[in-house]
Amino acid sequence: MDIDPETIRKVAQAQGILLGSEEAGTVSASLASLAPARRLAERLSFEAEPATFHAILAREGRR
Amino acid sequence: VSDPALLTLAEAARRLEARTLTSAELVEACLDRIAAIALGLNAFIAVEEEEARAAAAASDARRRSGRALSPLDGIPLAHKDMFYRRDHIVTCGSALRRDWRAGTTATVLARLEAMGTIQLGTLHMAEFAFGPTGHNAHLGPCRNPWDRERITGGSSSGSAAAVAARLAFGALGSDTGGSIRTPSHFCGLAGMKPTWGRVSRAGAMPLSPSLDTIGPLARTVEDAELLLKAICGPDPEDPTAADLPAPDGGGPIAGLRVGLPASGFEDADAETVQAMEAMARVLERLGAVVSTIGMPDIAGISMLANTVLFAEAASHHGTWLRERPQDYTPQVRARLSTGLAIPAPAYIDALRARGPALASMLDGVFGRVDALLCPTVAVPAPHIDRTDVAGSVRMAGVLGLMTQYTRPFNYLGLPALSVPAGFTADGLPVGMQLVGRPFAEGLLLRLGRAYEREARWHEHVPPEAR
Repeated sequence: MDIDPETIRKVAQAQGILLGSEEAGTVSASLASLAPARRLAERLSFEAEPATFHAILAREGRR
Repeated sequence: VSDPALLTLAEAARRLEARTLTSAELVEACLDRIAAIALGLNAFIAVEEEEARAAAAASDARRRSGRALSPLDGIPLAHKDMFYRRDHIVTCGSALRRDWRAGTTATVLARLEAMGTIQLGTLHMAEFAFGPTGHNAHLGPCRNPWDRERITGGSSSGSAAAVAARLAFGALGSDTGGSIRTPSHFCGLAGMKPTWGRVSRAGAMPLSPSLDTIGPLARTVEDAELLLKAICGPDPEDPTAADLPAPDGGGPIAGLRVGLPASGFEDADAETVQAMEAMARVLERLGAVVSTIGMPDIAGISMLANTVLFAEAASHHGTWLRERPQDYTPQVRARLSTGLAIPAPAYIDALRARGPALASMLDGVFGRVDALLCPTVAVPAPHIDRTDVAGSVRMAGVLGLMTQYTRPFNYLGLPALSVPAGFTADGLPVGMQLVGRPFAEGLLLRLGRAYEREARWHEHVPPEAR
């Protein structure tokens, strides 16, 4: 996701955490690297929910 | 073998059982080597010599009276400094917890202690287990026994260095994105990341609970199996710990189906790819059926994993980030701060996508093969100075390379075993992952043990540890 460093500083500040400008730049680059996650997230069905993962693990444990 | 420290854990256990060796001899052999080698590797945070000697004497007394607690009674181990021990300092590799004493004992340590194993000390790790290289600006870098100018990998850096240098017979580590397998690859060890929920995490420092797992780093797959069996099982202190029989790595591999990935691992260097193909040929010769298999979107899955990791880590560290930001190193503070800016829907999407991604992997890959064989890391151990990126903008790229092939399997919750699979022309170890269905650790251990009996890479010892 693309979020510029200044916005990141404001978001962190709203949570009571101060970031320097270089640090905010690093965070911005780190967030940008997450972009491929959207490819899968955008395919999610309306009904998908986190519990499905745990249900599959439990089923596999009973195999 | 003249130096008992060079035995594998399984061999040492057999010698203890046969009474041809004592625990005191094993502990002294390890302490001698720790005195000679450990400082140069920066592998230990604390060495507990007197406690280890006293524990060895007690173990030998039990053996003499026929009351050994288990086959592992008297085996010297050492563990990443993130497993709580009541009234002991547990630093988590940090300044924030430099003097912190735990009020409880981690289930995994309690189980090993109940079996009579001995803890030689606590081991180097990335600050709060949040770093894949082995750098730690508080402690200095941990150094690879195969080449001290190279990284060990992390975050279980000291676990890998200590076991590879034959300073301990095995070690526990944690694996949230590759922290057992990456250092196992760089240091020539067997490392098992179990299925999420196979091993209790009670009393272990959390990083990202949706992804955190605990497992062994060992000289051989056989040793890794012994340690995994010792620590797994249900635990009232951790409701996610599964009530299932311990995995069994015995049995033939003839007929087992092994898949080589058709995509997703293109960044692996030529020597790594050659090692993977050579390992596939050995497994084929042993009777496995090897084929190439289509893969899901590994890069996308990897970044879903990072979304979960960053968001959860930022949550755990929020109070300290507000109140004691100066006590973090710049790299860890920057990585934790990434989670502050991840929108809540993006984090929840990453959790919602987990079920469909796992279902797709089970149907698409594990519907056709029993195990996936793929590189653990794309490259062998890089130089320390080339990976010391601190909190710079290069951080995401350099660190991402370390865990791009391990992280997806944390997200999917799958078991993954990294096994030694050869050496580069420069003499650096190369590891390969065997990945299976949830709770298929036994099958992975079976493949790994069959391969190691044939390939015998575990018999190679770092030059300074011989």
